[in-house]
Amino acid sequence: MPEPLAAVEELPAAESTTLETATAALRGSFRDAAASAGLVERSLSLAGESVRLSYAGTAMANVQMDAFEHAARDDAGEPALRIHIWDSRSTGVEPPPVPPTRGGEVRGALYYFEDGGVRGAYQPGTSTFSVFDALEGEAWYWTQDAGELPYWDRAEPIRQLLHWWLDSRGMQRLHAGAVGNANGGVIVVGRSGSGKSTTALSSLGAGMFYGGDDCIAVAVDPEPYVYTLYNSGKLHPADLERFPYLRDAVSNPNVLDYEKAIFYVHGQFPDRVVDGFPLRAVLLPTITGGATRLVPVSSAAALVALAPSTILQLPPIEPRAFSAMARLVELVPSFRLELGPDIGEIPTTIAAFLDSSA
Amino acid sequence: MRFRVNNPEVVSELIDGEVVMINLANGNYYSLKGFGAVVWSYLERGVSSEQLLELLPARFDASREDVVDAAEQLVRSLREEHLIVDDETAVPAADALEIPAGSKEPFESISLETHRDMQDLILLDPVHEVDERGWPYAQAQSGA
Repeated sequence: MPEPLAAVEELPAAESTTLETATAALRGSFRDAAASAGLVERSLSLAGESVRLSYAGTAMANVQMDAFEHAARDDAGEPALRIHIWDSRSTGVEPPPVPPTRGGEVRGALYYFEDGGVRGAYQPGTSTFSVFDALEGEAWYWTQDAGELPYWDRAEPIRQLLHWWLDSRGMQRLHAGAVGNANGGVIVVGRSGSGKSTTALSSLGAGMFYGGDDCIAVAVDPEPYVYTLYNSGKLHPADLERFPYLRDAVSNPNVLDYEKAIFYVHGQFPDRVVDGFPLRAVLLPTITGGATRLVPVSSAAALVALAPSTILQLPPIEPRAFSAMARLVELVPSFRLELGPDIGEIPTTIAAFLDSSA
Repeated sequence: MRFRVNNPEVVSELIDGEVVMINLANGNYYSLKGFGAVVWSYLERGVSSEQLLELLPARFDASREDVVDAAEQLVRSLREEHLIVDDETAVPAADALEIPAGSKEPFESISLETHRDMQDLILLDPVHEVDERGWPYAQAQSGA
């Protein structure tokens, strides 16, 4: 059974007011935090768009920017999305008003709202609050203490905000890995333990482009295209032995007793993280122990492997996301990637496919 | 007896002759091929169980008994999984009762392929809608 939520500090629930004054309160909280700790701005190029991250102080920037370093630009142009990011611990500001909660929840419980084009999600277990205003192209991300963010939020920061933003731009966040070369790339889908990370990381080690191991973006129009969101990855510490070239990229070597290893690829292999690539196929890895090879499977099999975990992972659960994924798997071929004992054969097999499909 | 797809809890896509369904309430997901996908398509278009048992034997190359047994078993599974619900107001689409011209299709009894591995995600990371008044409106201090 899920572990009951440990005592969580109660935060002020929002008082009855209007959406306008509530977002004004968010702005005010961030403004106070930035006045206290200083404003740190970084420009990114993500999913073909310019995104501006405005941090109050360096605490949150230090936690998040490693995952985005591949996308950092000195001048990415007028931003399509501005995200204001702060924590209370390092800046000394009071927490902003958050939605009321029930208490006694599992750590992963999330409270979602949508009102007049504004979406929000509050997770009391991690004290994180994300709000996205699609009309204004503006978002806020607050947490109580930058130093307390769980490893998955450090590896894939502001995932919820990017999920909403991509949706507002007609794109999809996918629960998938992605690798490629100059001829395009593949997405790698499947449940935990299926060989998704093994496929992505063995391909990285062989010199292929790395688009992510767990969370990527795709566009369907005008052609299927994969975008890298994060240059990070996560591994069970025991699996690091199989990927010795990642050892120096691990950011949390002292806490591997209770966290997955988080690594940032850009620092180690800056030329292997690209903005994106054309999508050529969907791969469903499965460990067979025989020869590594690609076996055609139906589009429906790919949809089964891709859609449920993507749709159910982050709110809101939207039927149109399911339709978009169905369209995606209809546009490119799908294969079962049968994985043998020699992980060196994985990138060879994928690269041969990409070269033949060019 | 008439049915409808259990919208909005259930979403489905027909792709290359296979149907993939997700029950968004509990995270279970399903797939159906061939005969099963045809049954789903009929139900989705408001065809009653009585009409289904007339249409399917005329469409598939098998004994009436085999086809009827398979259809009844599948409809029972779909109801048990709450993928379809009873709805006597359902009306068949205009072309739903037409049988495709040409020779009969090969028949293979298909069971509902069921996946329950996403239930843990729903349990561990539940999503609650904020009170209908939504943020920024506060509920009475009932445990916040």
